[in-house]
Amino acid sequence: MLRKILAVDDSALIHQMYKLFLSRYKNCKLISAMNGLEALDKLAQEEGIDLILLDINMPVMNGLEFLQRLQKESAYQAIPVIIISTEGKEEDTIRGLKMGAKGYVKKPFQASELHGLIEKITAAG
Amino acid sequence: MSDFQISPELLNIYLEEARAHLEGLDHALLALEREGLDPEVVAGIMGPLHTLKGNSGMMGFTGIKDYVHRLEDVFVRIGQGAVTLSRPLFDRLFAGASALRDAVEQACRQRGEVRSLQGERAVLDALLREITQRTPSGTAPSTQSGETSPPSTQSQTTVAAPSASSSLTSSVPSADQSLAVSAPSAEYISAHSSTVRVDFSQLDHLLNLVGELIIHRTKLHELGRELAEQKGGRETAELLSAVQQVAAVSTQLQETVMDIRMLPIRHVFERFPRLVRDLARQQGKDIELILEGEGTRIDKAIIDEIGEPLVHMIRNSVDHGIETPAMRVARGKTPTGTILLSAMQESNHVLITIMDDGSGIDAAAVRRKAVDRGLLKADETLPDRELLQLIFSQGFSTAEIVSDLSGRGVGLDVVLKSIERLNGLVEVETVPGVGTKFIIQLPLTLAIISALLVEVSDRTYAVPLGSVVESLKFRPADVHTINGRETLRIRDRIVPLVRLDAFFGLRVVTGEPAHYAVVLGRGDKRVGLVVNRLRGQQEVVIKALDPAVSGITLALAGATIMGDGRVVLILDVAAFFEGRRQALAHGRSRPALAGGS
Repeated sequence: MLRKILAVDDSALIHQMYKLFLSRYKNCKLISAMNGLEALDKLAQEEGIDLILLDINMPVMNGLEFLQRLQKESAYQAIPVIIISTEGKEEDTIRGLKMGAKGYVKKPFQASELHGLIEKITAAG
Repeated sequence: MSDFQISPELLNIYLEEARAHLEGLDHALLALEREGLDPEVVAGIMGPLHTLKGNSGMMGFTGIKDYVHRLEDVFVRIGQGAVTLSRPLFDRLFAGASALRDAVEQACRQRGEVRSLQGERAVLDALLREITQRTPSGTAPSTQSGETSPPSTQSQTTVAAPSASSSLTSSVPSADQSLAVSAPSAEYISAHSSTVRVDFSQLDHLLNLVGELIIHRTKLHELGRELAEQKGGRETAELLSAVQQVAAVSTQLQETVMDIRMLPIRHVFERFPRLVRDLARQQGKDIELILEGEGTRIDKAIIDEIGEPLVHMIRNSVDHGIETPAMRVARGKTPTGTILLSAMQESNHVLITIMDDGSGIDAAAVRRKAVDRGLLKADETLPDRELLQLIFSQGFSTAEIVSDLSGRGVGLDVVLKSIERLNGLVEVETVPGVGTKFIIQLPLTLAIISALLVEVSDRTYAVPLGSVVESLKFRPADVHTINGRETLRIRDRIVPLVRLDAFFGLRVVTGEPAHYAVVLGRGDKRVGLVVNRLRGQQEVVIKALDPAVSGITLALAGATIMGDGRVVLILDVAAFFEGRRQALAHGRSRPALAGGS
């Protein structure tokens, strides 16, 4: 069962949408970070994060930089990451997947797509 | 269609973010046009555009998303130096940015896309084709208009990692894909995790609560004082000291909440460079807009309201102030005109100045027009300063007097009304042929004011202290009736009186040996309000009145609640001056002039 999802995106709109989309996972805490650096902070503060939803294009620290940092920390390596990409930056998505992300969803996506992928990945992991 | 509901809340968040992104787009375009190619500017706009594209897609605004996608491609090419930065290019991009802004605003208002942006998209497509034809092969843009969108098809989700030999990885790098990981500095961490987004309505609520707290504090203080007078003693003294501590802390609390509501005036100023650029281009003028003091902070409620009046005034400076380059040269000026827009804080006010080095205002022409419009009697003399203030009267077009350029004047009366609604003042200074300066004085906040409490026929009213020049006691014999109007001679001035009891239709208290006059000032004008008693000064928290009961006819700006729970009405000072000017304005009854420009 999902307990904590860390959502990393520089847009408040996307965070609000996650709140809606992920409300189906009862008792799951949604943690928000506006960039990679904030996400690292949240990882250090919160125990037991089960999943990371990661935007690539962000100021301060982008998603790829974050992934690189994540992979260096043995404590975080096992947390599955889903890349939330946007049309036109396919090469970044590919890089992210090579760096260990488990899958990706491309904006615009439907709630059901995200659910499907989350269930697939978290059941597999 | 999407499998979730686009709620008003989502639309609001989308719109708020989109506006910031579009503002960034304007600024990037302005910077590139002014300074030439700067890779940092280009790189800086890629992120916002990408987010705007993603968000628009999520909202189902496909036309907007597609347009932004092409815009990204154009910026990639600009960043590569593949595009000549010419005036026609910027005209196209600015026009596109405006259309995009319209499309976003409309989509949010109508909860769905109204404007297709098809024409605008075609313009960018043509532009991209031109660029590709001009540049040698091998440097084609990475993805054009989304026709190639591997690794996935459409919006399918994929779990499998793509093959390593993807052709995409060898394409042109995007502007912000730097993979270099630099160690973040510690201050960056604190700088970014110490901000929280809060809905403004929550701040409003917080301020209301603080307001209530202050009301109860005042009541506590009064009770404590009464108790001390009645019995004294150690406990009472301790109570009083505790109450004083509560008072000190609640004052700090109030100041802190007020401070949170303050935003830099940059939020208003930042749209003006684009406005001035567009207007100047339309009119074949060359204008430099200089911004100063953008960091000056003012209550968000004022930020939200001051934009429109400022647009009016800046438009006015561009339309009627600054001359054409040829005319400027003929007058011995530089061909480029300058408009200075500045803000600064002065005690508990913010002063906004709009200064241009244009043709100035001809006082004699203002006078002719004023007489013509019946705002001034032919033989009436007014100092130039007061005469100039007449340009803020209703139906007074500046077009015919500011310069010999033809064009419609913007109704400065509308500007004045907006500023007065914010408890502000506006003044004008001018030197013909040299330039004009408008000075707007605004309060730092609309939420709390210092007020003089006055008593009229057993009722209490609050008069905003900022408008009170003095208050004095007078005897009935001091009142003189001139032209059917009661006046009071105060030193060398004749001040017209308004009896508040009669004004509000209250029972007239007779047998009062003396009355007080509270003299209100606005610019050089004075009005004396006749009241029965002065009750002292107090900070009051303004509560808005229902629109049905407020308004100019009632001359009320709001209400406040006193320590004892009584509701006290706050006077709208502007209305007492308005009355006089409106009466004068109505004096012009010749129909031929009624519909002036």
